[in-house]
Amino acid sequence: MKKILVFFMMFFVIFTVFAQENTQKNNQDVDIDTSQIIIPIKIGFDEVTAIADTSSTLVIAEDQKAGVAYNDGVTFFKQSQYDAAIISFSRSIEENPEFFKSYYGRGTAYIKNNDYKNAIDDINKYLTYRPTDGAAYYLKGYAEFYSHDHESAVKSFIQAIEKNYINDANLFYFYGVIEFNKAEYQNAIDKFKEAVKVDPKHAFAYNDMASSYRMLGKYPESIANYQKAIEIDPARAFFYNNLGSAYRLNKEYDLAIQQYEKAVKMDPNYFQAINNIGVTLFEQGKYNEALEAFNEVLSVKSDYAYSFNNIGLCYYVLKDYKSAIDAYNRAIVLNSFYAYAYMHRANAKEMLNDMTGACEDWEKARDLGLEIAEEYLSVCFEFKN
Amino acid sequence: MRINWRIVIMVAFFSMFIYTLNAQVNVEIDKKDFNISKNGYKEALAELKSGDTYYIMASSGAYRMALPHYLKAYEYNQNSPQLNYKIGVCYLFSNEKREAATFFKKAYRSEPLVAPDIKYLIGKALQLSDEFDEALQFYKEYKDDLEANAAADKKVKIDDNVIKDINKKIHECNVAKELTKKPIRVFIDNLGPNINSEYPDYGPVISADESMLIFTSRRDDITGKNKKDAIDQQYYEDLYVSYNENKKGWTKALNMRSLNTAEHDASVGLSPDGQILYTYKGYNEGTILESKLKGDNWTSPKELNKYINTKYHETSASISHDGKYLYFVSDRPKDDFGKNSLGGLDIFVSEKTDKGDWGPAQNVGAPINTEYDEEGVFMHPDGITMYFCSKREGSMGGYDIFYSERDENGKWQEPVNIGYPVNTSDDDVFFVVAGNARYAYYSSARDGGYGSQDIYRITFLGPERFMALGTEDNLIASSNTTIEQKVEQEVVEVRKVRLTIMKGTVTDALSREPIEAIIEIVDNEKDELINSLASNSKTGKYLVSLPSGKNYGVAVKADGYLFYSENIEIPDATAYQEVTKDIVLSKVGIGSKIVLKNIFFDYGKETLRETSFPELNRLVTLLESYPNMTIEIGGHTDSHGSLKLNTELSEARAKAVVDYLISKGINAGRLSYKGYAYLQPIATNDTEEGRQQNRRVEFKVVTIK
Repeated sequence: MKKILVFFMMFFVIFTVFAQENTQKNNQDVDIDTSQIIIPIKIGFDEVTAIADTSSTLVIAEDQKAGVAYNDGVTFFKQSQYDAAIISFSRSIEENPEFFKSYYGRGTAYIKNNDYKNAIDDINKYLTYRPTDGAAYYLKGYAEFYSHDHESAVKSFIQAIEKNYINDANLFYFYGVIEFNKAEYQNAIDKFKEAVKVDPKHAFAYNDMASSYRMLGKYPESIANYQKAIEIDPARAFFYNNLGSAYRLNKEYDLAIQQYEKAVKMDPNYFQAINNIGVTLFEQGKYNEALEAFNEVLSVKSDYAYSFNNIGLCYYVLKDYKSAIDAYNRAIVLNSFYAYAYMHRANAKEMLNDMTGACEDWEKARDLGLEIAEEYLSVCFEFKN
Repeated sequence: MRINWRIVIMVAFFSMFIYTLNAQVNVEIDKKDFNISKNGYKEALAELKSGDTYYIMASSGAYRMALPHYLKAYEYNQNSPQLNYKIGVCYLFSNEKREAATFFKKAYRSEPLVAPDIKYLIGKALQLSDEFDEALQFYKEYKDDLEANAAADKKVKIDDNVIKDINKKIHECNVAKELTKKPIRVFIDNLGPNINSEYPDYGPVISADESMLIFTSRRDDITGKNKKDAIDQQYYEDLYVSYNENKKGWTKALNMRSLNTAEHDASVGLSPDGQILYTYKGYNEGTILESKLKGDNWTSPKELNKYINTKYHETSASISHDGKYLYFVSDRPKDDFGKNSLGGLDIFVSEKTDKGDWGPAQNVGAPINTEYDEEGVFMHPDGITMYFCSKREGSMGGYDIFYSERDENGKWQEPVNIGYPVNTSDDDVFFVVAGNARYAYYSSARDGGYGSQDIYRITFLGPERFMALGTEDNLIASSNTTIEQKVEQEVVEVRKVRLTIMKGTVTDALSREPIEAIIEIVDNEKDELINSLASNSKTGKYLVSLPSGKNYGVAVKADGYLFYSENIEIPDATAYQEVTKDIVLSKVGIGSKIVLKNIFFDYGKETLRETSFPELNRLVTLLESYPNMTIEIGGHTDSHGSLKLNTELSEARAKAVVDYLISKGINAGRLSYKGYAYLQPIATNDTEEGRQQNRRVEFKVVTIK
């Protein structure tokens, strides 16, 4: 009886392995579920999950060695050991170059290592086996996005949508970001709206939609969407900073400063927000207070060229041209390509009647691409000879 | 006594409220106000009497003389409403007009009825002190009082002019409030002790390149020494000159003795090249004279003809850049075409006739002239911008400086107030602008000067410079990279002068001695003589103003010399530039040759373009002047193409020139031609500029008897 039981158990194991391997060999398309690979994608300062974490059942491959290596890769990936995962997936491919799910796995690991070129290559190989996998097109688009090939990324996103991969808010989100970067702000807004339709809690999409409205000069809409982002995720200092800027652009200066101050309270080293307080005060004509704010920026970030530029502008409007020039000098030391600093320094030199110096600086600003400096050079006719 | 109307205009701009000042004569000092020690009272009374002696003369000079006496009396009693009132009036006619408000207000507080016009004068004094809101309040109260009095007493009738004047003042204050909110960016720099003195210095006129400044001064080394004007008790006017060669600073101003007389001699206009000076003398109600610079001597001032000088007041003049038009100011009621003037002083224009004299004068009309006075006309060398001062609507007080541009159809555009702080609530007159339009000159009695009126240079800095505050936001949440946002200031369009000043010297090719040559500027497209002027016989210097947007032919001619020609293409968009071009003339002699720079052919062909005709006609004139001269026309090319083709082309072109000359009556026997192709280059063929120089037509004198 005991012998019979052992026989049956051995038979069962052999049968199971055979059956599973046979299934894999014949039906890779069916069994290999890309959703097994969890792809944490960087968005801003955080990570979100691009693909839902579903079953993590490992596959026992018909091709035993390739399958084992693949499973090792998945395990390493889940442990965030991406280099090891890449090695395992590569071993799997070496064992069986036709084991296409390993291309997918390795591609995702490359993404995690920011090696987008190799990621794209692997996902392309995977897509030759699974050309209808919308999620893979999305991942490819994602890799292309981060390798700054936005044109290809858009094509991949469109492919993903065509393959009915439409329930991923991030796809629309990144698509929107690309439109934003192309300065196609209305298109960007449309995409961000799709993103929040899929995921109403997508705070980043609200933020970026608000930024798009801002770029279109639609400040009330911008304010409303930044507020929505804050409502969903109140812990991000930059949301408050952005809201402050929308208020500032809408000339609601007190509200702007309130938001900037919230941002600084959350992150005391948030020098851009402190700088924005200075900008707001400057726009209100409170030049001395602005000067204090810009100097405060330097206590947090002493090499912030913008702040020196802004300090220079404060001195300029306060008619202290020598101090203005000192400040611009520092901005230029920190960033020798800072065209505006050259132009501003020229303006201050002009006010001191140092026309030779002014003309030199306008020329430099022009050479750095500031067209308006060319206009100013028209007064240099007598200082050129 | 010869009345100098220009001085009257300059010092008595308050004419509109003079009528109100009639009351001031009756403002008597109340003895009880001077209830002080016996000696003190005597001294105060003596000062008051001395002051009153001048005060009743009611002229600006007399008020100036009265002021120190009243101020002495004021030391004894600072609360007399009458004395405060009189001091206020004296200050209104001084260079310290801002002091007046304090005294008027004190007078008013002590005695609101100290004089019927007290509220008006407080308003005026406050307006001059830039206290526009308060000034408005007093003007309105004054107007209300007048209307209330008229309503209460049917016998009282308000003069319409009085109400009109008050309304104008109210309007001025409102304009001033707006203009002072948006001051234009300028430097206003005193020209320093080489120019200015403790006495009145004003009326600057400059050459277009700012190398010469002539102005009027009433300092103590004038020609009619110790002679003072009865109206204002200042020395008579004399002309002074200073030079600023190579922008090294103004030399010490020198009295222009050869032009000055024992009477008033004032500068009113200077041609852009500094060779023709317009001066003003007070006789015949104001007369404009012209003097020309010959070598380093000015010719004796000569009255301009009857179209310019009439029995009415003519006060200032400015010649256009091409010397064809004279703009001047007069209060004549009609122009020479029967057109009525618009009121007060107007600006007129006269065109130079073929005989070289000024033709009938025409009122330039609206929108330049108005029912108010226009003065101090200045035509900019760009040929399209007129600067003038006016008391028109839109002035912030008294005369303001305005400019107007003439459009393509010759129509003057609506004048624009040049803005604060160049314009003030006081009178701003006699304003001239350098060719570059970045600098202007005028006189002002502002604080910190050398005394009285001084001459200042204004540097126009243009609109506020662009400012970009640096700021960054995390516009894209998924990116750590912040996005730079420039906070930009609003920028307004900059007015640009599109003008080329070409200047230099004309000299003899061998001796290098300066030559007095005639410089003709031709519009090649229209075959039209634009300007004809002479270089200075002593220095050989010349200066021409060439507005952008034309192809100019410049021909320089002098007796006994071959002419020199230059072609200058100045595209429409060309901004202001100064080009120095020294011209060397060769004497007519065997072997001497010149390049004909204004000969144009169709591309790759020998067909002469019509734009070549002015140049060819000059050559015809030269050949007519020297009937025994034979010449060779030489055609030259650059090195592009084969020698054969270039020889054929250059020869064909030389022949085309000869054919033209024959068609104009020149005997063919005097003319020969030759194609040199590229065998006699005058510049490198490696650059386009050099190749362009090599593509030329020359003529050479072969024989001459």
